[in-house]
Parts: sequence; C-alpha cells; structure tokens
Amino acid sequence: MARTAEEWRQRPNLDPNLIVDPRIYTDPEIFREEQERIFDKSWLVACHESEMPEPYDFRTYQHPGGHNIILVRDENNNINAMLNICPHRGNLLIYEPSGSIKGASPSGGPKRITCLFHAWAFDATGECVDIPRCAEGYQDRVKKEDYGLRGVKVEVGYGGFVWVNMDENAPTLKGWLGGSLDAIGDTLTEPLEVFHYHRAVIDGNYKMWHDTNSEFYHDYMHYHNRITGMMHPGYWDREYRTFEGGHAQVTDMQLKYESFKGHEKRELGWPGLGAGRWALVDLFPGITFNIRAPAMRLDTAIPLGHNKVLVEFRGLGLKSDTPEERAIRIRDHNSIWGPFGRNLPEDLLGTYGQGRALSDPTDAPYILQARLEGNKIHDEVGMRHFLERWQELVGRDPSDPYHNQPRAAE
Amino acid sequence: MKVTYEVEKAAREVISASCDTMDQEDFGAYLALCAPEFQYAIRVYSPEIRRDMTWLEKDYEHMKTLLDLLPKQNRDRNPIKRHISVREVTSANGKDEVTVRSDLQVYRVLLDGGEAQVFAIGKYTDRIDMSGDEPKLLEREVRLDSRSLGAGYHIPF
Repeated sequence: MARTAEEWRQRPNLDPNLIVDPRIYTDPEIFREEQERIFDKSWLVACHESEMPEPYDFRTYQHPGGHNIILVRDENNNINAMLNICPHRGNLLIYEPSGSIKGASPSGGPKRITCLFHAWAFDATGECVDIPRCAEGYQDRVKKEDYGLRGVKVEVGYGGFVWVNMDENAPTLKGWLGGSLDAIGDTLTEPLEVFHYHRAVIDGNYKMWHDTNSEFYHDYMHYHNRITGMMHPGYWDREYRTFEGGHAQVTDMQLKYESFKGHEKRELGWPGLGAGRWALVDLFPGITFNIRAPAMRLDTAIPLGHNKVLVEFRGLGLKSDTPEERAIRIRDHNSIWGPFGRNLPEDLLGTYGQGRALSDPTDAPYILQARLEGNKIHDEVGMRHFLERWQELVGRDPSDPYHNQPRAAE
Repeated sequence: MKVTYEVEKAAREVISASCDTMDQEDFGAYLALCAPEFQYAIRVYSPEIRRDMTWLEKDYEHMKTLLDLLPKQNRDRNPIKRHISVREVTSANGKDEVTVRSDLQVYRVLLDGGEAQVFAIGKYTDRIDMSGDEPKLLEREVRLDSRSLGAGYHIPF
C-alpha cells in the first residue's frame, strides 16, 4: 500500500550521512554557490591536446562557472588559455568551437585573434598586438600593452588532457588530483588521440550525472552489464578507493564480452590494461576517466543551470594506432558508449528521470545513498565521498542544507 | 543498368519500406529487405574535434543481434518517424545495382501529449541490389548533420 503524505515525509531511521536532501540538486541558490566555490576553484578538462595538434590551432570551452574560454596553441607548441572576451567592448573573440588562427580572418591578419567587432587583435599568448587607430582615438590614454586578454591557469597532462583552473591561487593539478589518476597512471603513458565527440543536454542536475558514474548499483539498468559483468565473480571483487579531494577509483576487472551475444572476445588491449579489462576514476566535481580496453571514454559534466547539464563525451585511442586498431577501438567504443550504443542512452535516461521526478523539490523529502558493502562495487561510498568534499567547499550539510529550516513549500 | 522509371520506383519503394518497418519496430521485416552482405553505418562530422566519426557500424548479423536484443533493454519509448526525400538514383556501369541518395528527417513524437519534434536530419546513401525478384539493401550509410540527440537512441536510423 502506498504511504500517506505524512509517512512519505518521515525520514528513515538511518545515519544522516546516508540520507541526502534533494534540494542540493534543485536549488538555484545552491547552484550559484557551487559555481563560485567549486567550479571556479577546480581543475577541469577543457579538451584534449589532439583537438588542437598544430601551432595556432584553437579550441573553445564553455566553463561551468559561466565563463567562455579560448585555448590556443602558440608557435612554441605551448597551449595558452584565456577568457574569450575582448577587453574593448566585451565581445566574444572566437565564435567557432575549433579551428586555426594561422591564416588571416576577415577582420585581421594571420596568427592573430582579431575581434570581428572593432578589429582589436591579440596573439596566441593573449597579448594585445593591435588597436586600430589607437593614437587618434585614445591619444596616450590607452596602450595596447595594457590590454592583453585575461589569462587562465592551464596544464597539460595525465594522458594529454588540457586542464584549466579559474583560480590563480589554485594548487597544482597534481596536488588537486590527490593521487587519484596516479592509480591508473599506467593507462595514460602513451600519447592519445580523440576520435569521438558528442554532447548530451539533459534536464537534470550535474551531480545526478556524476552520481551515475559514481555507483555501479545501477548496473541493473543495463542488460549488457548484467550479462558481461554481473554474471562473473570478479565483478563483486571490484571496490571503491577514495582519494583526497572527492575523487574515487573503481578497481579494474576482466570483462567477459564473449558472454554477450553479438560481441566477439576482445583481443586488443590498452597500455597498462589487458584485453577486456576495465579501469575507472571519478574526479570531483564532474569528470570520469573510463577505460574499457580497447577504448577510452572521458566524460566532462558542464552544468548549464541547477536543472540542466551538458555532458561532453570523448572517445580516445592511441596516437600510434594502425588504421585497423583504430577501427576496432571506434567500433567497440560506439557499440557501448556512442549515441546509438547499448549503455550510454540508458544512463542518460536515468539522469533525465531523476531530473524530472525531482523538478518539484517538495515531492521527495530525501533520497538514499545508504548502501554499505565494505566499499565493494555496489557500495555507494563514491557518492558519499563526493558529498564530503562538496560539504567542505559549499559549507552546507547535504543531509540538512538549510539547518532544519522548513521545506520551501511547507 | 539503365535507371528506368520502374527501377527508380522499385528503389524508392524499398527505401520507404525500410523506413516504415523500422518506424513500426518490425525488425524482421526490415531485415528481410536487406541482403546477407548488408553493411550499415552512421557517420557524422564533428566541427569540435574536426574529425569524421563513425557512430555505429554493423553488418547483417550484428544488426540482427542488436535488433533482437532491444526488448531486453531499457530505452526511450517515444517513437520516431523517418521521412525521406529521394534526390538521386544512379547506377554503376555493368552492375545490377543502384545507388540512391536521399535527404532524411527523423521526427520524434512524444508519447505524453503527442508533440512532434525534429529529432535529427541527415542523408541516406543506399546501395541496392536490383538483380533478383525483390530489391535488396546492400549498404546504407546514414550521414547525419545533427549531432545532438539528447540521451541518444537505441534503434538505428
């Protein structure tokens, strides 16, 4: 029998740390705090270096803190990150997601980022190199030397990913990661290359997506996983290892693809992983390294609001791949993780369903993160560990974010 | 072979039938339109990474496996409708087959309320064996212009 409203609101008799107030997923005020206190302080993957292989190549990045960023490879092969905003009148400098400034643009010369509005020009390091009719208009009050772009901290590493941090006082990337990617360091030793990119925009909170990546209890959703993973003893030996900073690793396992009709046994491996093995690290606040030999997938969650998330999905192979090896990796990646794959649409439907069900914050008084299985694969420690870090940065208790204040509609 | 009115009509009809059977999720009827050597692919160019991508690639057997397993999978149940406009029917010299290029529009009709949405646009390039009593699909490449498909979709276009 269904419960009454009063029964439904009654909190279960569980440790408060195992119960989450859903308003942390639905409150616009909390989301603004997250933008400022989490995303503007975090190292985030903006792209992969193979997306801008040549000097003067650029890539744009929609930063979750609400910032537009340009990444440009300069003539010395260094990758520079700057805000995509002209210091003159605040216009967007680069409109396309990727390309090259090597050639001239309609508004300016080669090897320059030229604002199409009034032709202010900047080099690949962000230095202002030309202000049209500067002396005539500004006399000596404005000098190009004083009007470079706003630089953003950038590091390239851990498989050639391009990481940015809006906080000029941020710790190093290595310090931020807390050893989490070192745990799968063997898998990131060879130069990688992106072969797949697509996005999904889902009406739900970004944490819902990262939660899905941070627990494997939802394997019940996937026929594919039930057959290739859960049927095999090694599955239940996988465990979560947590790292300082809210990051978590899931230890690897051997998959039995041949158990799944239509999937041949995997012969092609990955550096540091044999054929059919699987390694995964979830990084706070919304990145997942997911290597399921022979292919790698990287998720980056970009919240567009408290109830909308854009997830970027990249597929990667080795730069040294032969055409035959690359074809195998692409086929394998997309049969599971592509937009027409067997797993990814199901995961996204889970986030969509949560986003829709929790869209009225008064409907669900609590949700559970209460599975305790000794940190093994169906334990929900990954999500709880995330929220411990979240609480440190946001300053709210996920179980009681308003300090026992009445719910909004009560 | 010479592309006569009858040849073009037969090619158009088999492509339309392939769309209808997929729309109706009558996968057995869809596969009956395909030759044993059938090859299927969905490809799309990404301006973000400036690469051509293959999002799905199946031969006849793997396509059959994919379709056979659909009842066991959780998926988006909102139905889609494939609409094609045939643009060109050509034939290579000396072969009893034609190549057909069509524009493709995929609409999704929401189960809850019936709103129709444009889900995807692209093109079909089909190679069709015309040598037998019935035309058979030898190859279909779906070249998508759309790249944003929400949560994605379990059934090929």
